[in-house]
Amino acid sequence: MKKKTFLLLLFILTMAVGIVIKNPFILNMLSMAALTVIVVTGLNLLLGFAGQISLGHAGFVALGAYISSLLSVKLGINPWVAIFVAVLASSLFGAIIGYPTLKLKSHYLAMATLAIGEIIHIVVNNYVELTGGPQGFSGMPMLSLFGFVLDNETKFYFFIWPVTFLLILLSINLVESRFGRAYKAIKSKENAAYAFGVNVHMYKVFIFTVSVFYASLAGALYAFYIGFISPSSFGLTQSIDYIVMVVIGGMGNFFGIFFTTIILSVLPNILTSIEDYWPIVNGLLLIFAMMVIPNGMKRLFSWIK
Amino acid sequence: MLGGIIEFLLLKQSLPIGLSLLISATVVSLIAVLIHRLFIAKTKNATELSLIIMTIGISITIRGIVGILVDKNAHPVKPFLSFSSVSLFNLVFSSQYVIVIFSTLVLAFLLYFYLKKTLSGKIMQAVSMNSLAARLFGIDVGLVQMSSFAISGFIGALAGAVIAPISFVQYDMGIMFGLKGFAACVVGGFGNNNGALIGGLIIGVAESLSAGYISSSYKDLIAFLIMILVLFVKPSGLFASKDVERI
Repeated sequence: MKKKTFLLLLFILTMAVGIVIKNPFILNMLSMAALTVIVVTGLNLLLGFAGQISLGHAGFVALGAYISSLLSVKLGINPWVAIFVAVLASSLFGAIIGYPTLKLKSHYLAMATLAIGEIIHIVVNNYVELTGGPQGFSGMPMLSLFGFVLDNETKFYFFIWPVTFLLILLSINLVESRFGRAYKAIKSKENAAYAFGVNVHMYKVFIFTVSVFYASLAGALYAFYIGFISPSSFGLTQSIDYIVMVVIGGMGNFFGIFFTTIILSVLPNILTSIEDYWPIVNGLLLIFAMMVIPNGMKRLFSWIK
Repeated sequence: MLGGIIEFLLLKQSLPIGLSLLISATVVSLIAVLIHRLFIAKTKNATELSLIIMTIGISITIRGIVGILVDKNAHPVKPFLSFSSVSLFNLVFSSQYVIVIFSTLVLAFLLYFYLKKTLSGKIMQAVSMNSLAARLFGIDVGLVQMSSFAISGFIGALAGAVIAPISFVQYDMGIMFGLKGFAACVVGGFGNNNGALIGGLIIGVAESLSAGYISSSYKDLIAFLIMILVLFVKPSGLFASKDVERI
């Protein structure tokens, strides 16, 4: 089956789920999962296709969330404009910060991105006058679409999932273009790609910027959906969660990651009784995935071409 | 973190400090060896990326287990010496700080001696430079890696145990120390122990100064800022001994 056909089927399925299920708790859970899918799809482009790790993605989500909320609450800018500006600013920040960072390799890259994420986290946590610090920040208005206010779980569900699918489609198109082939070359043999005239560094910076774009967009939408943001939602733990989802889903595999992300972001909500054990589960999943199934769930979806 | 926790548990059994220090460091280095045996050595076609991801997994697992087995609270550990402060040149130091500095110097000297003067230390350096070439010379690379895991576990545990009376013991105390340790290595240059020592000093002093002159809530920021600056400007570190790959 073609990737895009399968994507369309999935889209119809999620819409059907939205029509059948009326329970706001479940719809809310699935909408949150959609936001995570956006971040993880972006990270997948970076980690799965270009083979570059980022341990600071939660920081970029925070960037999108805080810039857009601050613009809209403090300056009274229209939410959509605020989101647009925030995503643009975050992506620009990603490009600037990515330029020197992506010259680094392996654990240097991991630590540098981790440090960037931590820096954003620390600033957000401590700049109390502006961000509210650990107390969080609220007062964001509801999003509205052509005069149609997204004020309950059902409406947001039908807004966020099409957006998510659009973004997945975008990333599939990106990967299957001439760009995508360059990334495959970079991932398998960087020097060879370089020798064939691929500007390895610029390609890496570009894909990093795209993944920051995804992360900050998800962050901004999250902020306006929940109406409250606090630094604790954008820490190292979340960055690692995103990595877990990409790895278990099978790096570079859109659908494996799609399902893994939904499962891993819904499960903790259902299994609240084992909340304390969740880090262990995550850790063991990572170890297990690296030792036994380095390709994650890729094989499960190998029939989608 | 494990070092500090185990030491805390042993001290609660009213074991003497020296003994509990030794036991906790030994136990942790055994755990490190076990981790290497069970996970790292068993990983098929390990790339650097997969090993990074795997060690992240291992560290969150250990944190999770300790968080449940012990608890998530911060526990105080009493200082090693009975008197709380010493004065030197009119400056008063807390006795535990003196112990920390002293043990750092001793460890740095021992490591230097081991890596430069003994055969097994030289072998370890050879493996770190080029493991394939080392293997061709008949060196058991797996064994060397395992012993380097044991040594780093031992030192890490000692550090955790020595710093415990200052910082309190908690299930997630290790993250910041680990990160700043890495930052110190980056600043000093990897594969260079003296450089790491100086890097740690630079970062520590910069942190304290920023806490004094700017704001104490931003002091953690400084370590990362310095690390990123060094990575961007001179990725091989200030006192580099080997090159960091850069395109």
